[in-house]
Amino acid sequence: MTEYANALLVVLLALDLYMVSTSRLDACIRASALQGIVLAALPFVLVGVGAGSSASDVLHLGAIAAGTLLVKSVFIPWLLFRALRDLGSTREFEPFVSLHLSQLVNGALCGAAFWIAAVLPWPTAGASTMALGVGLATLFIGVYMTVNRRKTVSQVLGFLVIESALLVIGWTLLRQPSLILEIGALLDVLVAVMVMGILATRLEAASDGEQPVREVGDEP
Amino acid sequence: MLVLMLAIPAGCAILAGLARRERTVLAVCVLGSLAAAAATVAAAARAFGRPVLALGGQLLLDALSAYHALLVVGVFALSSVYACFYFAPAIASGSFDGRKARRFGVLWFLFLGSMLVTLVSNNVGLMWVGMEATTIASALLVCLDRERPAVRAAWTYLLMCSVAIALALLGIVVTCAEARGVGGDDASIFLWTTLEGLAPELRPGPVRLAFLFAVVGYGTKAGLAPMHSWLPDAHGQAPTPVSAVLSGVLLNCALYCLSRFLPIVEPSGPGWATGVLVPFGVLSMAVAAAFIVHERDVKRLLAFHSVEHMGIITLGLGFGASAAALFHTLNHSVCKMLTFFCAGALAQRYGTHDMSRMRGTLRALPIAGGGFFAGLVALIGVPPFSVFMSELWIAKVGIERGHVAAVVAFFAAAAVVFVAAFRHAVEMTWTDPSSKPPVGPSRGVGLALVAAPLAVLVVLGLWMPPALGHVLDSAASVIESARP
Repeated sequence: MTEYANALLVVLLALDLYMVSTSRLDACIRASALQGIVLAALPFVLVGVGAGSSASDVLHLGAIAAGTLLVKSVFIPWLLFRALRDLGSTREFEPFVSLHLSQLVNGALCGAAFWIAAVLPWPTAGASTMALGVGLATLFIGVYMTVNRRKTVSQVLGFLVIESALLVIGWTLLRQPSLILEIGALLDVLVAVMVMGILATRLEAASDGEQPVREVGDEP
Repeated sequence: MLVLMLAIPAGCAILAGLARRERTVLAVCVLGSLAAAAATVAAAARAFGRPVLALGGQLLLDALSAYHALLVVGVFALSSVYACFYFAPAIASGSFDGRKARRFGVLWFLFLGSMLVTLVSNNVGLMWVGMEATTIASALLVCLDRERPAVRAAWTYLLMCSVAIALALLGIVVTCAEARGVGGDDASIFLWTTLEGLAPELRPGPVRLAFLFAVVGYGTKAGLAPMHSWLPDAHGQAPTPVSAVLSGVLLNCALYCLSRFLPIVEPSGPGWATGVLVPFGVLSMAVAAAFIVHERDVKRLLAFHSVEHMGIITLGLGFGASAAALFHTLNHSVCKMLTFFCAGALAQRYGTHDMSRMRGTLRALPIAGGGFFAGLVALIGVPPFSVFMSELWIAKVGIERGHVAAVVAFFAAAAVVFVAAFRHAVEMTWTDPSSKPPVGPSRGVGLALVAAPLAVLVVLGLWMPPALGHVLDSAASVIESARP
């Protein structure tokens, strides 16, 4: 199973790096949808479904995979594409740190993630450092993306990358389905992204109402 | 009973969504939150004796969660009443129409419900789900008025807290995985009661790692510096009844989640986890003090006071003075609710949040102006109000346990806050208005809404009812169960 797991993890990390280095938001959304597919497949490989697994375990895994696929690869990309259409722009023009420099930064973040994954006292004996490293790298890249980008849609994509990281680390450490946590978390993410979409469109359309009180230093 | 506590907000959310007129929605808000309060009181009365479990152990109401749940429903009930005052001018002018009222009502009860879910969950995963749900519901409440600054504030709030809370989930996953490693069975490792029982066997490394994730995650939501930057905007831009709830109880809920981690991590080496909390508490107080000096927006001023008081409560937990920290939680909630009510009424009357343009408040709105002065004075720790008593209690325990440097920083920050906020309070209350008297529409705030919290603050400052003392002790014993 390990070689399949590693292959999936490499794909996941490659998608992270692609998302963080492209300025095309539609491509980012597609990459995020692909990540959803990878994440739906990951539990089967990590937990392992074979002759020894009970029917209810397979059912749980299947339900969670279907939920992940539906939410992360269908609903959320659809919502984001709609938001993108409403906002009328498909490029991230002005990240705080340029995308070229970002690639260097993210390379360093990945290196750091694998080192940290190797030294942290993880609870699960025998958890693969590869999986934890990819999980942490994804987490760092997600946080970096959220902080570095200005466009609301890009920030939502960064948030989704962070969620992917949680799924990877969660599956690696727990290796068992917990329906309440998984479904609850998926629902939360879905609703959060929906609300983020609403806020993003409102932010563009909002009337410039009462300005907040200025700081003392701004007095004319 | 626990299920009823959750069913009432859910039902009221539907009712509020079905109501046609804005006044009906507000009536549903008041009656619904009173009903939720009644159910919670009934459930809590039993929980203080012995923890109550429900739904096959997924829900738990013990002394700690019952104490926080009572605060939540109390603040919600009074804030619902205040919402009637607050929205009255908007109803008269037609800007708070049936549609907006329905949106408010539905979100209001979803917010209440998600907070109660957080508090009564025994499943730490469900607790996390509830906490994230509070962010979503309250972010939409913050931008009930769709003006640009409000939407911007809601956006920052939602994004920062969602990202941070994700880290808390990582902490939960690590804890549960460790619990399974030492022999917890698959079904129960997500239950807090199991984790607490297994705590002495957990290895220090993983649980400490988990605790750090939890501190960053839940600490952001609680507004601890340096992760507090979402808080002043969100509190400042939200409609005032929402600000009162955000500041009065939502931040407590985040600290509640954090304090649930203490009995799990403390057995791995007493004093380590609490030692992590102390610097966060000191830093929050210092940052808040620095900003309070220069703040001019009255609601942002109160928001920075929240950062300060969350810092004090965190210090209390860090010193191991859990009962004092819980007492301070109560005092801060009551006091912050009072000051937000009055500040909201004043802001409506003067048509601005700018304190330098609010002058002679005592003459303009005697009840709200007087209430704001008294509330702010209580908030900065003037005796005989109970905030002073709980701060003193926390500092006393801190010195007893040898945290002298932290207590010195505590007093330094508190002194700066005292001087800065006292100046604001005096200037606003008694300086004669230089320009024409304010005419903005405001229903003020009911005398009872000011008098009741004020009475609580004075009475608790002078006399600790034995029943409350007992409640504080039993709630604190949940946090400190691991301590020898």
